[in-house]
Amino acid sequence: MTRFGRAQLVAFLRAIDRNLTADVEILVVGGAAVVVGYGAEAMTSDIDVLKMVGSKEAFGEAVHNARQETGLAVGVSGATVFTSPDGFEERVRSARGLHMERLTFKVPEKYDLALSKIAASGQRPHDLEAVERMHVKHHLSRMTLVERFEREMRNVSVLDSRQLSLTVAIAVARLYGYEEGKELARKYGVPVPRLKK
Amino acid sequence: MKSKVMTSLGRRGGVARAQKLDDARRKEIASTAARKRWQGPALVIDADPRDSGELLNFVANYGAKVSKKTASCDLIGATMRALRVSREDPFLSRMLPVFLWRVRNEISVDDLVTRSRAARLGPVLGYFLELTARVSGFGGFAEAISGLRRDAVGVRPTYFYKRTGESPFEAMAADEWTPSFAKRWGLLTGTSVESFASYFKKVRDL
Repeated sequence: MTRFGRAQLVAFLRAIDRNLTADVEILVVGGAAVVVGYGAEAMTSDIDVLKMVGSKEAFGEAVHNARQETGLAVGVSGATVFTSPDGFEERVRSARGLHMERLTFKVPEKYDLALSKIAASGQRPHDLEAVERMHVKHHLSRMTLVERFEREMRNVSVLDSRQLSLTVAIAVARLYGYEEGKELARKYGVPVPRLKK
Repeated sequence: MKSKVMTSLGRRGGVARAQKLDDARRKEIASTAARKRWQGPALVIDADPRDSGELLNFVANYGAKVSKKTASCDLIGATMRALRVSREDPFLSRMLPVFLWRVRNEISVDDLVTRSRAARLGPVLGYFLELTARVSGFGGFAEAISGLRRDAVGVRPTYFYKRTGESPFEAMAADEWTPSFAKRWGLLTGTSVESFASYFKKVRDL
């Protein structure tokens, strides 16, 4: 039986859990966190692990066995780049409705995750798509999103501040409309495209 | 039949019987049911993809060492459908180079080129073949890429994703961020090669 989207990744995670011989906790970011943690209807075939507590060997073996059992070619690897608001680690939470025996699956809080995907979305359109699908399931307040960005990310991140501000304005335009994006772009001093008539 | 299934899951009788069970027994039954529900392959490729969800799964998993394949299918037809859908779905387009690389020895590239041209998908196929060659280092598509170049000569650049043109902000980003090789295919993708390369690296050997 073929499962799709969240059900597919959950099937894979449960297979990992069944095959684990020791307790492991993982903090997952990226698309898998959006899909499993927030139920967004998106497709991802890779799980980016930012932090792991427990036996690496036991986890690696369980992942291998889970692939064989489920037939799913899901990549599981360390997150190489993760740009997020400054205090995100204090806000991580367990994925709702996913109780497993040995595997604990943690994800960033929704605004932290959305901002990390937005930061990555320059030149990666699927990240912006993922944020939008997350917004459909778990409404993101414009005020909270922008405030969190300005207070904990804009001047803290190692990324180019202008580029980051532009990607946030683009994301705000996608989520809340052109006028909202334009207002923010003007505030940040980044280019404002004209609305074609 | 149904009662046999229920019995195998540890469920017998109705609500009254269930209410009489103690907590430990209830937990045991729930855990047996959950194990049964989540066991077994989550993906079986047994036919041509029937809808967009199956197509996405097909592209993500077909040809992987772990995927369970029980039937042959029209690979070129599925590839063409994927090329078409990729313009609406950035998740699928991200997976296409891995898929093309996995099927590189299974399909006739000449047939794929001929059928794609007939369906006016020549530049899109050319873009993905070149992208696949760039991220994988595979040289077997070179002739097809070179032949498909003719299809892109003089083509007016268009936004690769249909939604991009609807948003002035995303159109501006696509104009600025599209790699030059994609522009040569007349496609404003707004997507870096690195975005495809990192995904390719993670899943190519599964």
